[in-house]
Amino acid sequence: MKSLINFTLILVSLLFAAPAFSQAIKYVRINEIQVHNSDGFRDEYGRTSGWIELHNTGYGKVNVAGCVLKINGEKFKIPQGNPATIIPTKGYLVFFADGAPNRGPFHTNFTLEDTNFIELFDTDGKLIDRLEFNPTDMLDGVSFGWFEEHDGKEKLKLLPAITPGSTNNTEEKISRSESFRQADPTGAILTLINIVIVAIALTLLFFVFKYMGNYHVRAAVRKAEKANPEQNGTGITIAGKKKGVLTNDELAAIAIALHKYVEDLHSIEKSVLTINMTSKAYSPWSSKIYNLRQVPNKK
Amino acid sequence: MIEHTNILDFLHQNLTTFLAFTGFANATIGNYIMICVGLIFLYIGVAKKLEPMLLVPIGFGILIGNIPFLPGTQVGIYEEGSLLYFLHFGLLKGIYPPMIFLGLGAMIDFSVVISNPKLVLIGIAAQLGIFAAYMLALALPDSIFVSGIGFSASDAGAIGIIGSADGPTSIFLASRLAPDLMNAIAISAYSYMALVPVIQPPIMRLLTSGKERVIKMPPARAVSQTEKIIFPIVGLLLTCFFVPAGLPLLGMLFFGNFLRECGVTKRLATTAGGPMTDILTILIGLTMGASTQADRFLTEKSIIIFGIGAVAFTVATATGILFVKLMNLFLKEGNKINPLIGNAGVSALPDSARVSQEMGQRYDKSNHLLMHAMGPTVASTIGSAVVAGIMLGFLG
Repeated sequence: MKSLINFTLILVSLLFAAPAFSQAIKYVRINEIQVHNSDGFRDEYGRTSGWIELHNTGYGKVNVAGCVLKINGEKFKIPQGNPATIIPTKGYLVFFADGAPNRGPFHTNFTLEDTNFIELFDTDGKLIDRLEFNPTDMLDGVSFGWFEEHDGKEKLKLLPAITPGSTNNTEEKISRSESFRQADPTGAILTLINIVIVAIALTLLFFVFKYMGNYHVRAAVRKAEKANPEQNGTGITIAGKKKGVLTNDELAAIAIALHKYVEDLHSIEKSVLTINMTSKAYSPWSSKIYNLRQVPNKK
Repeated sequence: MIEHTNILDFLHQNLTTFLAFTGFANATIGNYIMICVGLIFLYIGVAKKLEPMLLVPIGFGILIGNIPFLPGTQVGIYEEGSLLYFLHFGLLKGIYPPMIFLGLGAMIDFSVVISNPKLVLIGIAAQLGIFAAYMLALALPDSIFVSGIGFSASDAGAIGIIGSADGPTSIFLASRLAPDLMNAIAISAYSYMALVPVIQPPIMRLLTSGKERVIKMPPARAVSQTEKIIFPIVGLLLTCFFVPAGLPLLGMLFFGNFLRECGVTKRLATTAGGPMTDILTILIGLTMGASTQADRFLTEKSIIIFGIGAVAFTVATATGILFVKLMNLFLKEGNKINPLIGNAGVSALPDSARVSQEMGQRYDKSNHLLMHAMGPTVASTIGSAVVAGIMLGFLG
């Protein structure tokens, strides 16, 4: 029974893992190529040849084993069983296009000299990426690939530097904050923007709660009126006072009287208990205990 | 055959090794200076009772962080594998501040803002301290720095937020914009928060007249539970749609407040506002203090940041008070605001509000300004989180 559960779990994991892998492969692209390379990047034997760089643009590892690189009628299936075919997050993998697959798993069975495109297919034969180029531009010592322009958009172009296994964007970039500083050296513009945005946000809050507050006050008055208010002797409306129903003050007075009677505190009361409605100087609004944490007393 | 060494040679050799590991052998003058700073923090926190909850963990953290040790022994906060290294992670990556905001939200009663929304506007004015510090940091020429490299725009943005006098917000923004300066910025922000009762009263006296100090504000109306429930939702939507970058702080603040007010999650609100906030306060204070290792902290930039912080704090206090005076020009008699609550526009929660209360009581024993002052303070907490989001959006 236990082994059956384990088997089922593994099966379910594989079922979920398969689409995850196939989804991850879509983040791999043909990032840079060099068609003619007589004196540049060298393979493990010290030989120069054209090469193809794959780049994992995603945020997870991708194994490209079993995927296919294709040019004019020629296919190269990336060998399986080699851990080096796993491209780490934002990582790169370079294949030597030297037409000598016997030299190792990363040597293709074709060269790039007789083609104007390269394609990458996944293990199911689905096209993942295609890179087209003009063979006449592919001079010796020149590489071609994706490059990020100043506007942040990426374009395929002849690259300013040959960078197998690393990013193509080699030009020094000015950070966003520094370019902002160049436009606003004193900080006055950012200050103005900040003030305007904070003012709009907080002023909107002000208006929302001003009108919401007015609405609630009116609603409370309507509710009190609906509850059949009566005027007591002081001219103050007691919300909720109905005929034959005692007020809180009256109930308090009766409770005190009963308490004294039951406890036999006094046989005859000489004083008169008077409850007056007063306007208090104190309210919870002036008490910090309701909102603030107490500073511990040092004893 | 085993070679027998003289016992005295053996002891001498081991004692020499042991001594090389002691703090005495590895101490620098910087360590002793920082230990003195830590002791001052502890003295202010314990003896003077100024912000003990913050200054005691920070002060003790400074002592821990400045005990000298042989590098590579996995002891210090900057040594991978040590306990402090892992605790420091939450500070370095800006994880603790949003969680503190969750606790703050669960503790703050926004009723005062809801009942008197015009107090929100004071929270706008006090943000000027942030921008004064930002502009000052940008204006400092590179030539005054020994290294010849002044503050970058993102450094200036992170330094500016000291003007909010909001510790968690300062840590959060510094961790994103200027991680190298985070310790100096955080220590500066918390120091000025602790010094609120010392710094603000003279500015308040200077900018207000005797007549203004005794203005009595009408008691706030009672706020319905519905309004209290709606506030965090509306507040979140209004602020975060403008500044999504402020979501980590504002989202947590309003979420905490919703837990408090919705009426069905009292246990969660109690935990968020009580034990969780206490734990985070300990972790923030301790790791912040321990990260002031002399060789990293005692730099000219730290000293300059402290100076800029003082300017920021002064400007924030002054602009808050002056803005109230400006508002009073347009308000009817009986509806006027006491300018002594203008200082509470800095979000040093709740100390600036306490200062307003104490100052108000000094001139009129029956004048209770505390809850009125809480309005600008909580509004400023929202405002400074919005500003942090904007800074992050533009400079991050």
